[in-house]
Amino acid sequence: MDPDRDSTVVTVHVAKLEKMVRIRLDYSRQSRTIRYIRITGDFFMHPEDSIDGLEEGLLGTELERDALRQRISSALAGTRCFGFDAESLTGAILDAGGDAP
Amino acid sequence: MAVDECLLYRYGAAGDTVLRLYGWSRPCITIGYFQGVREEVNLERCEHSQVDVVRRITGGGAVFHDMEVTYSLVTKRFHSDIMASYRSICDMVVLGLGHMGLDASFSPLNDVTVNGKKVCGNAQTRKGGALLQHGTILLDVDVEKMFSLLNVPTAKIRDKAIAGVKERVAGIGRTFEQTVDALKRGAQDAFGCGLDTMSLSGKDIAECRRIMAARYSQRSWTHKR
Repeated sequence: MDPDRDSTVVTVHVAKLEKMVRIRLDYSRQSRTIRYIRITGDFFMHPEDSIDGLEEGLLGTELERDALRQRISSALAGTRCFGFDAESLTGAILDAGGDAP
Repeated sequence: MAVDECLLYRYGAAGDTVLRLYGWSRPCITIGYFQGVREEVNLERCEHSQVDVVRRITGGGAVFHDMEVTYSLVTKRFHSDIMASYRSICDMVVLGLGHMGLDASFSPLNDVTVNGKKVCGNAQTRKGGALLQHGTILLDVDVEKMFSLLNVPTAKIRDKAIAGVKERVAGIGRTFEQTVDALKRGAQDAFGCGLDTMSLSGKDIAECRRIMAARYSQRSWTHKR
């Protein structure tokens, strides 16, 4: 990682309910807020385009459990997910942040 | 994929229930709506092997389509509960396989198994008040070929992954024609209906071409994630 950049990108894999969820995360190390997030995997979401609102809704969110869970729960209101839930996704994003060097 | 989407909007959303049974003129890979194409697929090897790669409008995992019967079903009459809707449509497959002497069962969320091994995977989406569910019934499986085209994290894991899939996934060992015939009977049993044969109209084909040009032949769609 470039020490001069106030940013880090990490990828974590979360296996839950036999589905794979990958998180690609770019966040500010200084403010610990999310600059970019991509959630990919073989999971299901209905409706499918909820993923866009989820990823957009997480931009600027602090890498802190309550803030993440609240933002995710809000973004997923009315969405059916198979393969992850708000709690496991929160944990995965925190893992991604925590695993950063 | 364009035909499935055309059927969803032109027939399913209009209140018609349509079952499509088809095969592939050459092997192809489809990836789930939420998957990263580069994460899942060895694109260079696919190009070299002339294996097309396309993103589905449904979630789920990457599928190497080769020796299989593929079905798609569109309908406006379905359970609002997602698990229940998978179960009721997969009943068609379970009952169809039963007509070939196979003791199949539904394995939530979206699989059908025979003797504990997955023989059929399914995925669905709901748009315009209609449901599209499509799935594959494996006739045979070439796991080595599949893993030569799909990415696994490391070479070290490759052998384990291949062994794991061989243990969990199997073909049903029947012909394409036998399976198509059995699925038709399964559909009649599961849905308590008769079947009429239909062909795509000129307007349908034009719409398929439009969808293909607008979505499935676009690199931006397949590389969306």
